[in-house]
Amino acid sequence: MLDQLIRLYPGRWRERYGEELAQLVHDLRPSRPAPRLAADLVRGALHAHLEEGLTMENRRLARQTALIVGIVWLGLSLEILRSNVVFPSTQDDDAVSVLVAYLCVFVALALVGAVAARSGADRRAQAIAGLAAGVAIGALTIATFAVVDNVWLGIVSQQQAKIDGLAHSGGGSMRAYVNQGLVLAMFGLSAMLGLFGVALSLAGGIAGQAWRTRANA
Amino acid sequence: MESRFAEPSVLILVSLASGPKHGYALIKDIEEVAGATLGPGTLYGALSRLEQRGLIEALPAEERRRPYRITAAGAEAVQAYLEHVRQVAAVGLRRLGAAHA
Repeated sequence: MLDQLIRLYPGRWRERYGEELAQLVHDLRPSRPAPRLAADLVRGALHAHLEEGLTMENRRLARQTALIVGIVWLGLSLEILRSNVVFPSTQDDDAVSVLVAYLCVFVALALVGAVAARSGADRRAQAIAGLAAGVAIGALTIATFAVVDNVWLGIVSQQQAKIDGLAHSGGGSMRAYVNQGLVLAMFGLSAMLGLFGVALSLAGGIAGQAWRTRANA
Repeated sequence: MESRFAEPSVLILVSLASGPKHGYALIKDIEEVAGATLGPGTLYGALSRLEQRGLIEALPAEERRRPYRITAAGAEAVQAYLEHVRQVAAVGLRRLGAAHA
């Protein structure tokens, strides 16, 4: 049973140290209680996974992804402020700006994958980076809406879509209606952009790999 | 040179300072010298980190037991660390002695 716990360690770690660790466990078994050995092995496996995740390459990838997410979020936040507070419109005429915003987000998610591939990240790392970027952009964007809608509720509540929505919701306050929508949007948008993030990041990774190959040729 | 060590790493380097050892020999020596009981997962976690930092190196395995030995960089690093600890210990004991005098 203790040997089975060594399978909890990351693959590469096991290839390097697995045999020696198994021998040591066998040597210690007569003198140490099995539960203590088991707990120590599980703890060691957790640390090994954490340390594998915190490689220099993964840290660099995380920084690059965070930078792209930050730039996109800043741009989206400025546009949210512009269209909802600075130059608010009471009509539901923001289709073009919404479309442009989505296109920018999709390009950014593909860029996450391209940059990751160019740095040598494998498909798994590209997918994780895309997922994280998509979820982060979704969550941060809704957080911006939450601040804007609550701080400038008087302006936002003039939007026709909000007035119609409140009327159809069957009553209650505009603030409650807006915040209820934001909670649902937080999960929905984050999940949707997370999925798009995986797909677009992998697609961007293919392009990034071609870019890297050409650069090395 | 970086001289930050978790306790298992210091114990391993001190043990290897007296010659190469494989995992079981390291655990037994550390128990004898420091009274500390290291688990196999803890030991190999520290061995992995020390090897990545170039402070120890692996020798050819004998069946499934692979000895490790301390490198010159490892000896230098642990010596600097222990001298620092000795300095702090001396100051601390002196102050405690003065406080209880």
